[in-house]
Amino acid sequence: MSFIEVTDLCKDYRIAKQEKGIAGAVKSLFHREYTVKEAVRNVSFSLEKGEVVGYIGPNGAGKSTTIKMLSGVLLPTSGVAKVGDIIPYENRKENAKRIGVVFGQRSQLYWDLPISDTFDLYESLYSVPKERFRKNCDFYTELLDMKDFLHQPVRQLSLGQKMKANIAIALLHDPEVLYLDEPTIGLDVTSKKVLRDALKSINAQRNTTIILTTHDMDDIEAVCQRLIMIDQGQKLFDGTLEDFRSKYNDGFTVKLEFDTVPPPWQESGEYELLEGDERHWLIKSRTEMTAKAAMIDLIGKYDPTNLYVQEERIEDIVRRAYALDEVGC
Amino acid sequence: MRDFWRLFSSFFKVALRREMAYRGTFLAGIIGQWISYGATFLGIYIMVSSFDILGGWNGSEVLMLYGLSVMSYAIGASFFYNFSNGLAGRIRSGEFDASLTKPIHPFLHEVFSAGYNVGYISHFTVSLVVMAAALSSTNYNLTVQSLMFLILSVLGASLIQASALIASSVMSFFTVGNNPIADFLLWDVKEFTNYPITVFPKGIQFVLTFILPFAFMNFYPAAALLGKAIPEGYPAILPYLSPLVGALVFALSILLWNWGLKNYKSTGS
Repeated sequence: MSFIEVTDLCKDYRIAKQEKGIAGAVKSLFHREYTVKEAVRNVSFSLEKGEVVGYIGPNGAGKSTTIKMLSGVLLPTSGVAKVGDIIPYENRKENAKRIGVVFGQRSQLYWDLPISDTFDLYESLYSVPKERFRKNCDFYTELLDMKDFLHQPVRQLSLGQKMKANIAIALLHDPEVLYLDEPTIGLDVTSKKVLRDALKSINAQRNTTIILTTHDMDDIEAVCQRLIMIDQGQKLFDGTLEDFRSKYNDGFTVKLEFDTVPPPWQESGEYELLEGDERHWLIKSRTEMTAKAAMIDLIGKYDPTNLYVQEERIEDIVRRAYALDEVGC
Repeated sequence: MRDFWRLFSSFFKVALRREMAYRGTFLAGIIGQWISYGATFLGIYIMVSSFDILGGWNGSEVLMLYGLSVMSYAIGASFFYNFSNGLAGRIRSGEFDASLTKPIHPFLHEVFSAGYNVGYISHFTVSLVVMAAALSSTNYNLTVQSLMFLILSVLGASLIQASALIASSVMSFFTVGNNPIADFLLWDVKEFTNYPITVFPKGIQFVLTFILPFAFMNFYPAAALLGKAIPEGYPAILPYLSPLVGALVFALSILLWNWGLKNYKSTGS
């Protein structure tokens, strides 16, 4: 029996068709037409305590819906989710004491007040013992580097500072599981790094199980041991980052820019010319060649003015993974 | 219950701190409300004093109805207006989901975190002045018993006002936009209560007593206090039931809210 067990989880949304005008509004009171959207389809996975899992997929893939069912916000249409022997959406309050949730950019802080006030409120909300609460406040203030802005009104804080504070308040009651929905979206590089390091040490020091959804492959690389990918509600991949790489990620693309007319393109087994015009070439490596080797090789052959190496975006990987799945690879 | 008061006081402290963060807005709001409610009060006074007698009520007595209505709204709305008015937006933005991840009932969490609206102190003071003026101009002899009755009735009436606010917020669980039909039922129907219900046709009397019991908010307590007739054939005990009716509709409105929440959790709309 694993710590988190998700079995054949499904969630359908009924979306009402909106009709225009007052007549439409009156009509919709009595009769409505719906379209059904299958947001999550037969998703199953299990997690051990202390695992850090990246939950990825393009927009609208069903990531947030899964998190909402795991945190007890939404009822599944069918299937079961269990978190430490509790069914979260049936035993919502009991579950709430044991989890911490951060829903992306939707702040849980009071706009007009400093973070320290929200901290105090959470102490009574979760009935955390005073001693423990003080210790946790100090621990997370230190870990997330929040000392400088703890007493400023939230409206004066930056996005990164607010995200740090939201993560801190999700952790003050020592939850066993932390759900993070897009925690790094819109943050600058420094804030991202502080957050990732903090998540790693929270996991290491408190053995907190973490599930985070993200669009940023670097988040996964920095903190996750495992990765689950979904698209259109269905699970496409579940395994380690290395497995994911070897299964889906075939290399990188290199962009060459020329000031003058470039030398003719030489067809070879190593590269594929994806796009090319008078000034720009987009090249994809076909082999296991490292980026460094490819750069040296390409500069030697074509002498471009500029050269950029681009990792594949997660959307592209997912799109290809989905195509692979369709044909049954 | 101890937990409830501990939570209430923590949230209340935060709510007051938030109100005080914007003292200018707060003061401007109060003065604005004084002017607007004072004007409505004058309008009604001029109208009823020119009619002289309206269904057996004179101008000052009709003002008592207005005073009770405003005072109960001030009390009910100071706790539930922010909550009721903000729910649709919080559902739309997804902030409401956070209330479902807290270890207390989401209704409590929403009401508490929406904050206490101190601005209604202006309604309260206007209504206090109106009621004092109305009672003194009718040479009413206020005893300890009648004062106790008035206070209990005002509390019952505040629960009715709160229930209306809670019930109108339930629509947010079903539709994204605001709902004009709920607004009509809850706000426009309440306009009838500015006048004694005995001046209206029987159907309206019935609705305001048994269906949407807004008459218990001001008409029945005022009738008991001033010794006025109630609709013919209605039980003589009705004027004394405001506290009971208030508690009942308040409980019903919370049940209704929970039903809406259940729908939200299964459809996520």
